[in-house]
Amino acid sequence: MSQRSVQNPEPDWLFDTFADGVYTLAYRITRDRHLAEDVVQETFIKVIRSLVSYRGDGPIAAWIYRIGYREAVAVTRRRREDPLDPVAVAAEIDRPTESVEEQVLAGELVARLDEAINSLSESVRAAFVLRDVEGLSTTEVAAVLEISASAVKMRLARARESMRRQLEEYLT
Amino acid sequence: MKVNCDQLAGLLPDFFDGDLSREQSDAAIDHLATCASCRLTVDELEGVRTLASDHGRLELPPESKERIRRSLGLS
Repeated sequence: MSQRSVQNPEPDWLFDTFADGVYTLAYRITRDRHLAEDVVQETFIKVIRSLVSYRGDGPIAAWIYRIGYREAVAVTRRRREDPLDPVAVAAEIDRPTESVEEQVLAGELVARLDEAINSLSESVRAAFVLRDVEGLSTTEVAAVLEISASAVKMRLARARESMRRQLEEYLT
Repeated sequence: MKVNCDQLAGLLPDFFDGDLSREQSDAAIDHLATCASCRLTVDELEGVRTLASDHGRLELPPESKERIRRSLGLS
């Protein structure tokens, strides 16, 4: 899927195909579900507006994830610059944590996986999520992050080694 | 061509991507056949990738998905 170039993609199809992936990336970058939802919305506004300039000459996944990644990074930067923004603080306070049921369903493994992913630096985390969670190719990840394939591989090696150490008890 | 543990570690990103040359790939496999420690590392790194792909993905909550769809004017 991710390798495909698509001629004249329909907005509905794009949203159905990539919304969860963009949400996953956005949440892993922002670590905030509400902000991640905002990123999805902004991303698809831009995607739909820019469809005329997408010529179908490159992997469509990389194009969409690149827009989503830029949005997520921008949102995260804004939050860092304005950490006491009352709206953001209220959103954090008002937002209920996961329900007991969700916590039980998620289980310890998923909680530990989340913790391990969150411990990675933002740039390393982005490469890991795109490659090992979303399944993009190394070339596509390089296109999304606008870095070389060898830089992607270095980040992946760092991410996987850190994850291996943190999740060791679940891996044997 | 032969590789030691440190050299194998440097080859692993390409190993997982299937981007090693035939010679490098043979050397990596030969090393893994004789080094239990590196074999364990590779197995665990594979485990990390499996955990990430099986459990790392999130889904937009249905009500949020519907709200965003409407805001985008999608059917």
